[in-house]
Amino acid sequence: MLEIEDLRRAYGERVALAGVSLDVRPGEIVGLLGANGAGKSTLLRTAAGLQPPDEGRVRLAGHDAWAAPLPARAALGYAAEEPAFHEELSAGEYLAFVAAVRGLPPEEARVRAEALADRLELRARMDDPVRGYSHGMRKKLSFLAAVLHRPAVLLCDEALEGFDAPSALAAKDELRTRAREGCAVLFSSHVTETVERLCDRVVILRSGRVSAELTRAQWGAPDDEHSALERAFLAAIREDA
Amino acid sequence: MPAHARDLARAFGTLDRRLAERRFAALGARGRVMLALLASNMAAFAYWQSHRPLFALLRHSRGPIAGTLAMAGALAALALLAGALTAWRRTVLAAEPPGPEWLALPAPPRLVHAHLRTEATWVGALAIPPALGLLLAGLWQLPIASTALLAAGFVPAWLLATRAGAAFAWRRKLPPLVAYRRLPEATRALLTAARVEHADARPPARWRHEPAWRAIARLDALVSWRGAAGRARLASVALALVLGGIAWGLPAGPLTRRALAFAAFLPACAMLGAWAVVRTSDPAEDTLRPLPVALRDVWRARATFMAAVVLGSALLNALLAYGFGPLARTGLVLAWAPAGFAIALLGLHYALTLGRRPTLAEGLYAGWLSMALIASLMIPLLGWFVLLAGLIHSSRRLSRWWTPDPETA
Repeated sequence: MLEIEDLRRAYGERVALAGVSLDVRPGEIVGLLGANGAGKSTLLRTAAGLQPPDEGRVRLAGHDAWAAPLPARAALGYAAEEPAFHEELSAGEYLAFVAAVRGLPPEEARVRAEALADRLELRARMDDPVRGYSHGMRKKLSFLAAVLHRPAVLLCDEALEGFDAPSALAAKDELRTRAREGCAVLFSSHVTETVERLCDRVVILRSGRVSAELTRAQWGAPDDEHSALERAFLAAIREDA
Repeated sequence: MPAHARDLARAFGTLDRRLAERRFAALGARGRVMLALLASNMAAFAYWQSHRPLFALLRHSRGPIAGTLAMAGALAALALLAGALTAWRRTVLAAEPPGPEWLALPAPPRLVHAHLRTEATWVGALAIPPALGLLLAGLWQLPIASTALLAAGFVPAWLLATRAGAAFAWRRKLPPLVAYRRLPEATRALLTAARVEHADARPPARWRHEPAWRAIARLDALVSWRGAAGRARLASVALALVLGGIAWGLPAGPLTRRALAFAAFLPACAMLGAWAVVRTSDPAEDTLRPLPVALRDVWRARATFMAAVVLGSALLNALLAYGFGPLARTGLVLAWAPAGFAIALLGLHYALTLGRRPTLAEGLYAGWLSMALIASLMIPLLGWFVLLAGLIHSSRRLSRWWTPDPETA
C-alpha cells in the first residue's frame, strides 16, 4: 500500500536520506523511530509530496507519488509535525475546504468531522479562527484533516505530540480503526511507549538509513528500567554506531 | 561602557552583519544578477531623466548654483522616499518583530530597538541607485566640488530620513496603556506586538460539493477578506481603480483623461499581481500539497479572479469614457484587458514557481515591471515586449510548482 524504494535526499552537503526503502501493508501500523535529525520528517514530507526526492520512488496505493501525484494524493492522509494553516479560517471552514477538494459528500463529511472533533475535544472551538489555537489544537486539526476522508495511506509525523490524554486515546483508537479498515499507517514518533502500544512493526532510522526493523515479537518484554521497545531502540542505534 | 554592555553591542552588530551576509548568499547567483540589473536600470533611468533637464537648466543661464540646488532637491526627495519606505517597513515589522522572543532575553531594549530599526532600514536602500544615477548626471555637467558636496550631503540625509521614518513608525505603534508607560519604548512596542489578537468566532462553515479550483477560489476570498496583507493589496487595487474613475471626470481633453485613467489602471493590475504573490506564498499553501490539487486548479482559481477584476475594470473604464465612440470604447476594452491581465498574471506565475521564496518572487515581479516601465518610457511600446518576455519566461517555469524549490524545502 505504501512502498518507499531507495529514497535519497540531501540539503546541500547534508544527507538527510541515504537510500531508505520500506513497505507498509494494508491494515498495518508501522512505527518510525529515530533520534533527532535521523531523517524521519524528511521521509514523511517527501512521501507526502511536500518536497521532491533526489532519487528513489514512493508509491501510495499503487500510484507513484511524483509521476502520478493526483491519484496518489487522493489516497493519502498526512498529519504534519508543524502544521501550517490559513490563520484567518475557522477549523470548520478549513475542514470544509479539505472535504470539497477531496470530493467528499458535504453532509457526510460534516457529520464525520463533527464526530471526530467531538472525540478529540475540538468541537467547541470549531468555529474559532485557527489564529487563536494552541499548539495541541493545531495538531488535532491537522490529524482530523488527515483522517477525514478515511485514506488508504496515512502518514503521521509526531501526530499525537501536544495532544491531551483523552484526545490522544481517541486518536489512537481512530488510528486502529483506520488500520482495521485497511489503511496503511506510517507513524513517526519520539515516544517509544506510544509506538510500542500502537504499532505492529517498527522501522528505526539512523543518519538517513534504515538501521533496524523489528516486529512486536522481536522487541521482547520490558525490564525494570526501560520499556521493551525503548531497550530495542537504544540497542539498535548503539549497535549501528 | 561596561564590558558586558560592549559584548552585547558587539553581539547585536555581529547579528546584523551575519543576517546581511546570509540574505545576500540566499539570493543565489541569478538573484544577484537580477538585483544588479534592477539597480542598474534604476540608476540609468534616473540618469536618463535628469541629464537633459540639468543640461537645459545650465544652458539657459541659470548657472551651476541653480543646477546644484535642483540636484540637491532631487536627492532630498530620494532621501525622503527612503524614509517613507523605512517607515512602512517598520510598521509591517512592528506587528511581528523578526527574531526570537526578544522580551524573554536579557538584552537592553535600546539594542533590540536599534536592531529592529536596521532590519527596517534595508528597504530604504532602494533610493540609492537612482541617487547614484542623479550624481552621475551631475558629474559631467556640474563642477566636481558641487557633485562631491551633493554626494557627501546625501549620505547623512539618507541616514537621517530613514531613522526619522523608523522612529515615526515605531512611536505610532507604542501602546497607550497607562500600565506600560514606565517601560522603555522598545519593551512597550514589543509588548504591543506580542499581544494576542482577540479572535471572534466565525459563522459556521458551509460544506459544499464543488470542484477543487472553486474551493480554492472560495478559500482565497475568505483569507483575503480576513487577512491584513491580502486585504491591503486588494484595497490598493480598488483605490487605483477609483482614481482611474475620477480621471475620466477631470476637465481635460479625452486623450489626456484616457492617459490618466490608463496610468491608474496599470498599477491596479500590478497590485492584483502582488495580491497573487501574497496569497500564493502564504506558508499555509503547504496544506495544499498532500491534497489531490493540481497546478491547473490553483492557477485557474486565481487567474479567474484576476481576469474577472481586470475585465470588469476595463469595462467600467469603457463605460466612463465619455467623449469616445462605441468603437473606441470597444478598442479600449480589447487593448486594456489583455495588457492588464498579462501584468497580473506575471505576479501569479512567479509566485507559483517561487512560492517558498516570496521575497524573490516579489523581487522578480517588481523587476520585470520596472524594466517594462523604463523600456516604455525610453521607447514607446517597448515595455510591452519586455512584459511579454517576462510572461513567457514565467510561464515556462510553471511546471516547477510540482516540485517545490529544494534549496528552501
